[in-house]
Amino acid sequence: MTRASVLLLVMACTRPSEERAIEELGVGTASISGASIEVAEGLAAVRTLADHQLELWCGAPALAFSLSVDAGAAGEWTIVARNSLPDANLTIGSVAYAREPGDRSTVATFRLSLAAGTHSVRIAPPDADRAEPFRVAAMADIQTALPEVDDVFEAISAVPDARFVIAMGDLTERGTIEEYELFERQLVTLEIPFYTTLGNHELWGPADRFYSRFGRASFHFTFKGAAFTFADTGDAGIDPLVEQWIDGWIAQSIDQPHVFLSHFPPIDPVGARYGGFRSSRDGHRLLARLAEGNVDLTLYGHLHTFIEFENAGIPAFISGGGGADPMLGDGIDRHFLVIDVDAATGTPIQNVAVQRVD
Amino acid sequence: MFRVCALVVAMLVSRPAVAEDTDPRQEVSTRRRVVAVLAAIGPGFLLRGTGSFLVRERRTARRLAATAAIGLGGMAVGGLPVGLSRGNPYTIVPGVPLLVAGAGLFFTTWWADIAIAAGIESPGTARAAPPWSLELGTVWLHDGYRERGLVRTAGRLELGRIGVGASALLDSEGDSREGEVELRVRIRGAAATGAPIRSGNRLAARIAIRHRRDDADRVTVATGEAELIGRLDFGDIDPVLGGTFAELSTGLGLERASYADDHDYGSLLLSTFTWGAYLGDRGEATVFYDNRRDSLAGGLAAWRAAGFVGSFGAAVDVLVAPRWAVRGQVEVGSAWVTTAVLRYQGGRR
Repeated sequence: MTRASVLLLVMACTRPSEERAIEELGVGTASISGASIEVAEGLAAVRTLADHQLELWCGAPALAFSLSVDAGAAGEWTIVARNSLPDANLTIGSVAYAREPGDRSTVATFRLSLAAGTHSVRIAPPDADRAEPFRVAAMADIQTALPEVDDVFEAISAVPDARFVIAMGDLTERGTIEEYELFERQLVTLEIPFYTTLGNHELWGPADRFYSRFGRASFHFTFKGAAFTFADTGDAGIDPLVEQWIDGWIAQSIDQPHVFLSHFPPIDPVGARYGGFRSSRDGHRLLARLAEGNVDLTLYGHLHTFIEFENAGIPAFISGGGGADPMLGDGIDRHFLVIDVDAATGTPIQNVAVQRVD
Repeated sequence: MFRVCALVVAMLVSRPAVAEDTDPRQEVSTRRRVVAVLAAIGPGFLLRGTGSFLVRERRTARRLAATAAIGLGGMAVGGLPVGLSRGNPYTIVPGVPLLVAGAGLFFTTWWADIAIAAGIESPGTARAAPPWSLELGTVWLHDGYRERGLVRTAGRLELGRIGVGASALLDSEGDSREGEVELRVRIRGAAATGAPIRSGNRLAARIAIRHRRDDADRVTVATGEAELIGRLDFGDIDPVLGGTFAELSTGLGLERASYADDHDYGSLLLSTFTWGAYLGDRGEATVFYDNRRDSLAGGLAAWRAAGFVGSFGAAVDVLVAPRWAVRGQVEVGSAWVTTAVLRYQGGRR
């Protein structure tokens, strides 16, 4: 009865994702006696902050954080940056620290000596700020295919020059701890980092399972002159707080190539199917903002198929080919996208190609 | 048409007359009624007719169960291809309209069973639409993004089988405005006299165009739509259900959304179902589901089904004086929309 009442309240709530948006603001901060960390823009989940040890899950190819240590915590520190680019290194001011050899390509371990005080640390590849061509892969909707998603990861790893994966959610079917653990084990086969927002299936479990492992679901970063914005649309809508963040990110990147990703498309291209936002008025409003913000590419999931279309004049792709029960009769099963970006040219999105896995 | 449908349903669900069907009604204790209502709400959701059965309306229980089974069948026939194909566009029409129509029969019989269990009897009868009407109202919109107070004005004129209507909805602060013009063709049902009628059964075809400009959202949306709307008096299924009715509608729309420099075309699926009771001969009270997502209400954040569900609402529309009616409505989707309308109904009785 209580459960039913709570369900009714949630259903009648006009801001079902408000708590999640607020919870995201805490991502990337942690403190213990003698040490604290704050990751800029919440772009990493702090998995461990313990005695002279810090472990992060990176949510962006380049991240900055301030690490404060007092006299008792000063000394030799081990910093592990999981889900980092294979060529990422750590710098504090002008001092660069090379990663320890022997780790997996996406796990960077750094050992360094920290004096008491606050240190501005950056983990990024050397070319992160250079506007040059680069390539990424995009995918969504793994769900029940978690046990065999390593096939997809192997195929992505074989794509020449792909720097990282951007994903549109639904990594799991039920958001269980076991599924998240399996997903991380499967990531061993992926040789590049995986940055993702969440989907409605992650919300079958508590959202903090996602935040504590992978960081924020609504976030924004820039790489080689191109901006990437990920938005939490897990309830088939966007919380007003997230919409405010998006407004800020759009304004910040108005002159940059900009890729926008969310799980639900704001408007389903097959409108009568209603596979988009639960309010098409909210969907139209978001699209108007993206169009006026000169967004160059929108990527969505949720529908287990591949659709290329335009929304508000912005090229759009639905790519739900991570392996979840595929749409029948659409002629495509597991797949991912390969996207070539070049911020230095007038056509920043050079190419979006579909690569089939099955 | 509806009488034929009702007769078919009645023939399907009825058995040869037995004593239990012809017994005069027995008194039902309050305790038994409470149990019946709880049973109708709980197990009665799946075992349709439980509430009616417990208050000794066994024939009604059987007929509700059979009607709900027909609804479930429609849901299965419509929904399974959509679900199994994971939303292949070729299954959406007619799959989803069938699904919603089936859900309409399934849910309205549930609500009817609860009403029977609770002893709610409606001795009411339908009233024909007035020959013409003018209305003025206020709409309060509360969603996650804003509060809006809107003014609604509308008018209707019935000319034989043809009815034309127009309405406007204006934001009191000037941020949005929308208008609609519609034309209805009465295929079955009573003429628009404004008088009480024996049967509310009706079938109409409707076409409409809508235009909406939202300055705050910087979007303009134009819509053209066509749908069929039908009402069936439940009294035609079983006399115990007299005074209550179900209304189903389905149709398609085409939408053009214009942004600063570009526009998109899209499609809409229109499907609603309503259960209602006549309030004497002065009006009606209804609860309803609307599958469209482009309305002010949008769709419910239905937890794991978010995105798949439209809005629910309740309304009361009643004459408060010979020519004056009021309508109050609350609709809940991604927004709460509360409407209060005063209407003047003109023309012959």
